[in-house]
Amino acid sequence: MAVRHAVVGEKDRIVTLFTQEAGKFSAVAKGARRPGSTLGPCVDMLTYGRFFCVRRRGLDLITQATPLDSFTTLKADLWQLSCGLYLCELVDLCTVDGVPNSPLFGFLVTILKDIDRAGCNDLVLRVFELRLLDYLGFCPSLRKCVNCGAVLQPVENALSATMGGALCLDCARSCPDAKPMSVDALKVLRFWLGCTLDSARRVKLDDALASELEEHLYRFIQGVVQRDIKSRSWLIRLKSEALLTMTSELSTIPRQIESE
Amino acid sequence: MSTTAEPIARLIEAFSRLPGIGPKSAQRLAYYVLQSSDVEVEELAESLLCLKNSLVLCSRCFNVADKDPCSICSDPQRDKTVVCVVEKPSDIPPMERTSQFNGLYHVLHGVVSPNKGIGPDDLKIRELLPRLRDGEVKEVILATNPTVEGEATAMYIRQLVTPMGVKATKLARGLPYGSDLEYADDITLGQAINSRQGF
Repeated sequence: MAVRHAVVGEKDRIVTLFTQEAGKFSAVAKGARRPGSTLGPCVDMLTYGRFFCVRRRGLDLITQATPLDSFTTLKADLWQLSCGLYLCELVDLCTVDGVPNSPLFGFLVTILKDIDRAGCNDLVLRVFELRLLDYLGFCPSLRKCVNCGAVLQPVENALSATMGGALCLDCARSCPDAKPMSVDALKVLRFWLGCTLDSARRVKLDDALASELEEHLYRFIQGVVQRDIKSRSWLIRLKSEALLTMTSELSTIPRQIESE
Repeated sequence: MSTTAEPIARLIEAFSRLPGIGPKSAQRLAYYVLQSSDVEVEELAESLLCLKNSLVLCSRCFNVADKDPCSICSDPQRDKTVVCVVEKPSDIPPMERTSQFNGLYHVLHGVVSPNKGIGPDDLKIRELLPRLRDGEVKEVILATNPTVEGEATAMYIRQLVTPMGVKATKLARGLPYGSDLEYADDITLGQAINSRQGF
């Protein structure tokens, strides 16, 4: 699956593929921008396919590609499409060239199929972020305090990205980047690590808990990639503009009632 | 120590910065220029300087033109009820060559690309909206490239223009003329089936 692409030459693309067998690598898709090119649709982002590549001294060359799933429903909706691009950017930033990660690849395909089938909400993104950390070996420790090893009590604890997991209240005082973590947030994170996607979707979160989880996971991801995730600001923008639209629609209702 | 004379090396370097031109092609072009007559070289240099000095962006459609407003925007024969939104100025000549479109254009100068940090504020999307407010424009054709980013841009613009009572359409996706069905890729063929029309 292509997770990044760039234009090169007159009609070619350089594509960064994330694959099951060879991990992430970049390859040239010759003529992919030409109308009628059979490679073009396959090397576009968010298309799951089978790629045949020739290993070369410089960049590899994509010789053939067969699409297996192009996620057409996902691509027909701006929010879902943007979520898909966010997942691609996360994978691109968090993975290393040439290192296969079959569970992560499988989960990426599964979650894109799930979004294509049932849509996407913030929960799905959070589950992906947590599992991504898990598959990369950066999963936050959520059972015991990462500093003293004490079993976490069902009270407000803390989470530290630099320490790599949850801290008990005593240890949190001496950790500068530890942020308070509610009991509910801890429970949800533990649940999401082992549940199916359908079960994860059924979790009901209030706004405060949802934003707490988003903040914790984003800090963890940033700790891994050490840079901003560009598509996140696009998602935030889309959400705020959707809220604005909803607010303006609501504000027209009293006027409609008055006019009637 | 380089054996190439410094002016030639500079020209090769300048040519090799152009898209699609590698060092070998740049060298070939540089030696071609060297062998050309003085008049031809002066014409080339003058054309390059003229390109930068005399061209402006049309304040209405943001196409590159030699005057503002451009010849398309100032043409009274053009259908002012339809605006075709394209990614870049070089998308306009192919549309004009079809002779099927007689409306106006709006050039975005890029596409929304969330993963590269390019958002609507980096493009000429906001500038499109005042053109639609006076009610003269009835339809906006979203002629962005059929890529994920092109689609995202088109969907974003559709969200903005639809509440203004303007019809948003996009170019059909399907098989290129003269191609062979047997070698068509699954995605394009699928889109062609989905957007089939009465015959």
